[in-house]
Amino acid sequence: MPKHIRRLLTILAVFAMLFVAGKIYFPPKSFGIYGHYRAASVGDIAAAHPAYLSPDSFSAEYPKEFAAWSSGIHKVVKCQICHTSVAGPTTAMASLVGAASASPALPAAADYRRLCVKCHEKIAGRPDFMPQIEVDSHSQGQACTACHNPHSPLFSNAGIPISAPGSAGIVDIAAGKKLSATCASCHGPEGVSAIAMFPNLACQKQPYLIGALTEYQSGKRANPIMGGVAKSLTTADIQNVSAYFAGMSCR
Amino acid sequence: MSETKLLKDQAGRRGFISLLGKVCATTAMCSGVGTVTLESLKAAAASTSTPVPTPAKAEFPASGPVPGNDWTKRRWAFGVDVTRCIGCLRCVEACKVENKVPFNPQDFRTWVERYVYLDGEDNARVDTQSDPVNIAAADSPQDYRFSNRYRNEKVTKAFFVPKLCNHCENPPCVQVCPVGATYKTPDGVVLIDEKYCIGCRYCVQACPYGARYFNEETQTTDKCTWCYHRITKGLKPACVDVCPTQARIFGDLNDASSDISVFIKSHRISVLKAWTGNGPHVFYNGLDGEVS
Repeated sequence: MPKHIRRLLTILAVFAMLFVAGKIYFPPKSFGIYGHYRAASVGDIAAAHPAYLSPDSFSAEYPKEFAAWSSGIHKVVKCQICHTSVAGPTTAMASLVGAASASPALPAAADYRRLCVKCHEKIAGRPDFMPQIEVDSHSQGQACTACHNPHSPLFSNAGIPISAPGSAGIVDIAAGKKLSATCASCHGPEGVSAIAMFPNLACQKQPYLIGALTEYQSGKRANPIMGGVAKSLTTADIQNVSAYFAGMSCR
Repeated sequence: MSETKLLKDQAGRRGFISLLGKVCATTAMCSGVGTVTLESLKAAAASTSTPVPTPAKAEFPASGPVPGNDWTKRRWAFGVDVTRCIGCLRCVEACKVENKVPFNPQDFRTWVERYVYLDGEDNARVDTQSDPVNIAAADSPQDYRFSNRYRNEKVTKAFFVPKLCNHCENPPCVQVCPVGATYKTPDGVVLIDEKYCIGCRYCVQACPYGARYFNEETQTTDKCTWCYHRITKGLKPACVDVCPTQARIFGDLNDASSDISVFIKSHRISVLKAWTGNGPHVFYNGLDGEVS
């Protein structure tokens, strides 16, 4: 074999050996066990700690809030959506968090007018099933918590079903009268029932009617007829129709 | 012949390339080229007696490296019910917190798009939480909210579309990775090995959904993992957990009673960019034809 060919082959062989040696030396230990990747990385990724915890994790520490939350309409909204995450103050919600609470894990959300509107402001694209408000006209500058218990917003902080804010002027009694046509077949056209098993509604207390309809709607109070009726009503409908019956004369 | 027919087929071509890779891997001639599997490595070790690092059996069983989670038995999938999304962006914030995504207006593992048709306009106006108007509506850059920008317009139609990594059956991002830093697990999740990624961003370009972003803090690519650290512990992904309207659904396709199986069974579902042949595994209900 000519000398120059031998040299060439030697150089090639050296490079080949270097390549093989590098291939053996450099890939991480677990590379290629399951496929063309580092098998240990799957475990690395899976080892991270969850930041969002089940609401049950907070039930012992906050029994009162948990009870209100778990029985109310907000039970689909888990604790950490509004409260700061256990991940600490670097989170988005930290900006909404006041120092009011003693617990660092779950402080109170301080500014509700910035928090609640994230879901409840009336904007283009938000589906109708979601209760929505025109922020300025609805709240009239008040904090949401002035009327609503944030853990169960159909009730006030004192546990009373929410009626329309302030004056009766906000409630649309005319709309309530229109809606009451549905009620008339059982409860009577004037809110006085002709049938013994159906109660009179005329002159009934407004918070009671709101509470009853809300509970029929949520299923807390079960009734095949009223459950169906209440589910077709919005929160505003309930307030309006309740105000209409409450305003009728007692006979 | 059947071989040429097979080659015409997209999946068949992939299979052929994969087979070629396995053949290459077993021969010492081109070790390191193509797909290296456990079997091909063993075969390579047996045939050429090159010192391949032997796996620690206890640490890497066939059922997967995460104890208590047999990845051969699961096939994760995700559902999005567009008709239920209210655009509250709780999922976006939860994802950022859960996965330590940088709190800036550009980088997201999941995001929500808003499509708005105004009276007299043929095309939808699309914005996301990253839109400057929406950023201005939020209180801080760490806080996301859709502004009420169409308050005084006549809107004929509007809806929100949550988006995230589709965890494709044939992920193009995995195909282009030059170092094997991104891969698909047997339970159907496309993951990124943060320690092995060289930050070339080729995969960011390859993804047809724009699901990947480059994390300037870690100098690696990052994307949705369906919260792999949660689902392997029996939890739901953070975005699914926080969604107040159940617009996001997650579960195991191998379990006929899981949320996702029931969702797929009971809705007329579609996927994004089905024509790419990637086999996306995020299933949408109520998706408008305009959305891609």
